[in-house]
Formats: sequence, C-alpha cells, structure tokens
Amino acid sequence: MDAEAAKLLGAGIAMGVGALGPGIGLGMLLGKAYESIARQPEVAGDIRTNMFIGIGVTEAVALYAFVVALILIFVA
Amino acid sequence: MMKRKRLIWAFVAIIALAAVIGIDVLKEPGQAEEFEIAEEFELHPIIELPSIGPFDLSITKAVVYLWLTAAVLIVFALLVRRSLKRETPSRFRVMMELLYSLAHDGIVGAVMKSGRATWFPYIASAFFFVLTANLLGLIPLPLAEHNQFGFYTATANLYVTLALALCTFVFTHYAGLRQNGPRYFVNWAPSSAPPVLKQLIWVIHAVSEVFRLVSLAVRLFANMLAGHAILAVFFAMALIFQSYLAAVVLQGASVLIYMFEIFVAFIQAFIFAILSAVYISGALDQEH
Amino acid sequence: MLVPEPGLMIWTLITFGVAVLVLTLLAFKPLQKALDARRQSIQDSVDAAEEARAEALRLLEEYKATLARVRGESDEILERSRTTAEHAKAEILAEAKAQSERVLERAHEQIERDTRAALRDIKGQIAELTALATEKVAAASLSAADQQRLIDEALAELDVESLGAEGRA
Repeated sequence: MDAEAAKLLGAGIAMGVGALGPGIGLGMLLGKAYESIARQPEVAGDIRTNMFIGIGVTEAVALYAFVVALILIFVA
Repeated sequence: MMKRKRLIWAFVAIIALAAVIGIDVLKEPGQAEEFEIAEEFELHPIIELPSIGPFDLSITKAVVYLWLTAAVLIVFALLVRRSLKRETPSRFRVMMELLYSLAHDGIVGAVMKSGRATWFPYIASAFFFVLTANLLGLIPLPLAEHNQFGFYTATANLYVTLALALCTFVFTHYAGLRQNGPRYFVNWAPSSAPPVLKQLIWVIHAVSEVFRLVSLAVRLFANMLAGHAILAVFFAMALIFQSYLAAVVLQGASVLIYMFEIFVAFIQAFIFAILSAVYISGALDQEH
Repeated sequence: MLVPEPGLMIWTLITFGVAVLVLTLLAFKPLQKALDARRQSIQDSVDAAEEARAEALRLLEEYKATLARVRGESDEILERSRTTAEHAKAEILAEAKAQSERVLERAHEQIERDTRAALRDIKGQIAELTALATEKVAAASLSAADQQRLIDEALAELDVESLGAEGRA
C-alpha cells in the first residue's frame, strides 16, 4: 500500500468512525430533548435553546474528524 | 396584481439565471470532466495588494464575499431604518422585528443573566453576519475560476471563522476581567477544591478556553465546507456519470441537500451566536 | 484548502467591525426604540382599558343599585296610589250615594209639601164655591131647572178639583 492510498483510507476511516460517536450522541440528545418537550411543552423554548447548544457541542466532535480527514487528504 | 407581476419577474429571473449557468456549463464540456472539488475552495487573488508582514491583503473571492455580506447587512439596516419612519409597520419591518426579537429574546435573553444590553449588539451582529454570510454562500455568483458561477461562502474558510471566533474569545475574557477584576482568572478553578487538584483544574480550564476558540471556529467552517462539498460532489457526479438520467436524479437530490443547507446555514449562525452568548455569560457570572 | 491566510483574518475583522457598527447604530438601536415604544403604547392602552373596565363595572354596580332602589320606590308609589284611589273611589261613591239620597229626600218633602198646599187650596176653594153656590141659591128664586143646573155646575167644578186633589194625595 503506497502512502497516497493509506492517506485516503485513513481519511475515510477517520470520518466514518468519527461520525459514529456524535451520531449516537446526537440521537440521544435529540430524543431526550423532544421527550422533555413532550413532557413539559410550556418550557419548550428553553429546552430548544439548550438543545441547540448541545447539538453544537456534540456535532463539533464529528467535525473534528472531518477536519482530520481533510488534513489527511490535502496536507499530510 | 403587483404581487403576481413581481412573482412572474422573479420566475423569469430564475429561468434566465439557470440558462446562463447552463450555457456556462455546456460551452466547454471537455473541461468540465476535470472537476476538482478542492479547487472550488482555493483562493486566488483577484487584485494583488502588498502584504503587511505576514498578512497578505490581496482581494480574493473570500474577501469579496465578506464585502457582499457587509453590503447586504448595511442595505438591510438602511431599509429597517427607513421602514421605521412609517407609522404602520410594513411586512418587511415585521419580519425584521421577528429576526431581531429572535436575537434579542431567543439568544441573548435565553442565555445571559447580566450584561444583556452591553453584549447584545456584538452577539446579534455575529448572528446576522454569520447568517448572511452562510446564506450568501448558497447563491451562485460568478466568482469561481474563469468567472464561472459557483458556490462559495466566506464562512467556509477557516481563517474567516477563526477571526470571528477570536472576537468572541477576546470579548469573553474582556467581559470577565471588566466584571470580576483580576479575580476572574482565580475563579477559573473552584475555591473549594484541594490545593493540587485546584491547579490541575485551572490548567484544564485554561486549555478548554483555547479549545472553545478552536471548536467555535472549526464548527462553523467545517459545517459550511462540508455542506458546500456535498453540493459540489452532487454536481460533479452528474458530470462524471455523463448520463442524463443520473444528472436528473442527482439534481433532484441536490435540491434536497440545498434546502437542508439553508437550514444548516441558519442553525450554524444560531449556534455560533448562542455559544458566544454562553461563553460571555459564563465569564460574567462566574461560579465560585 | 487549509493554506494559512492570515490576511483574510484582517479583512474579516474589518468587515465584521463595520457590520457591527452599522447594525448597532442603524438597525438595533432604532428597532429597540420602536419596539419599546410599541410595548409602552400597548401597555398604556391595556392599562387604560383596564381602568375603563373597572370604571364601567363600578358604574354598572351603581346603576344596578339605583335601579333596584327606584323600582322599589315606584312599587311603593304605585301601591300607595292604588290604595289612595280605592279610598277616593269609596269616598266618592259614598258621597254620591248620600247626595242622591238627600236629593230624593228633598224631592219627597217637596212633593209632600206641595200636596198639602194643594189640598189646603182645594179645601178653601170648595168652601168658597159652596159659599158662592149658597149665595146664588139664596139670592135668586130658583126654578127646579135652575137648581138642577146649579148643582150640576158646582158638582162638575168640584169633581175636577177634588179628583185632582185626590190623585195628588
């Protein structure tokens, strides 16, 4: 396996594995958030705001993987 | 009657734009096969300007997009100011008021406890700036290579988002220092923690502050880059497959992706602003 | 794609700074002022409406109380007037009855008096006539035929008068 192929493979694996965790995390986050909204619709606005904060923080993990993949392809 | 006329004109404009893009793509079919997605995000100076130290001030398409963003914001601000002079609110003004109250109550009001009036202009401006930049990126503009139409957005560049995140970073610590004095840095570690652990927590907090800056920048950059890359992949695939059926299917799919990108553009602006508000609010109202 | 471009950061800061300034001065401040003004005006009108409502409620209560009082009063007045009218009616009736009885009484008395006067009158006339007849008989030598005629005359005269007197008695 030459270096180019290893880079591409590494990028793909980084993105795929890196998306796993945040995917599960986002699912749990959104599920809990909607559950809370269903239980207490009167504080839906607050829950939604906090949900977006949580989404931003969780999603960042997947995006780090994305950046690592980019670095592997274009920089490394 | 006026509304229908306007709709017809908008429709005609869209058709004309599509025709221009179509002609643009069709005129050199041989070239289009060499579609390199990374090239779409490379910056080439349009006007060369001398660099000051390490800062190369050449005008690239990212700079043009930034100018466009600022120009759109200025135009909207002027329109808002003009619409405020009328006694009865127009439709435009009601819409702007909704956006304003989203920033005022939905972002700043929902997150910050103190210093709302002081920090609202910065956070709301960040929200509208990022939102406008993101949305502008979804309009094809003739700024790609050889003046072709292409998608690009200023926020799909790490250094633009890094500069914006740096603003939040600086303002966060400025706000903390102004509010709490030198104790701001001491308060990074809880005072109740045992001595050695306290220092360790302090170091972890300091590192996390830097990571906040990086994550704020990278989140926005990576989201916009990924969105545009996916759109570019769908357009490129139509060219690679060289089949009308694939082209039609992929165009349909890219419309869906495009709509999702509009949603993402909004959400990312919202998240950027709300996280800025959270960081600044955390520096203002420190836990002891 | 990841080439360092620090110059772009300068441009970003400049444009973002301009955007912050323009938005704050041209959009946010006037919008906030307009929203505050509208909120104030809505609050004012809500307050005014609340006040007017309270005032209206107070007036309504007042009117209701007044109406109840007036209704009671009017009932009382009606009752009083009804009793008064009944009294008056009874009085008037009694008065009328008394008066008619008095008139009747007076009429009876009058008749009695008239009858008595008429009888007295007739008696006087009878006596006069008798005296006159006696004089006539006494004055002339009367033939049998004359005598008879005179008696008939007297009788006819008497008859009418006495009959009238008797009918009246």
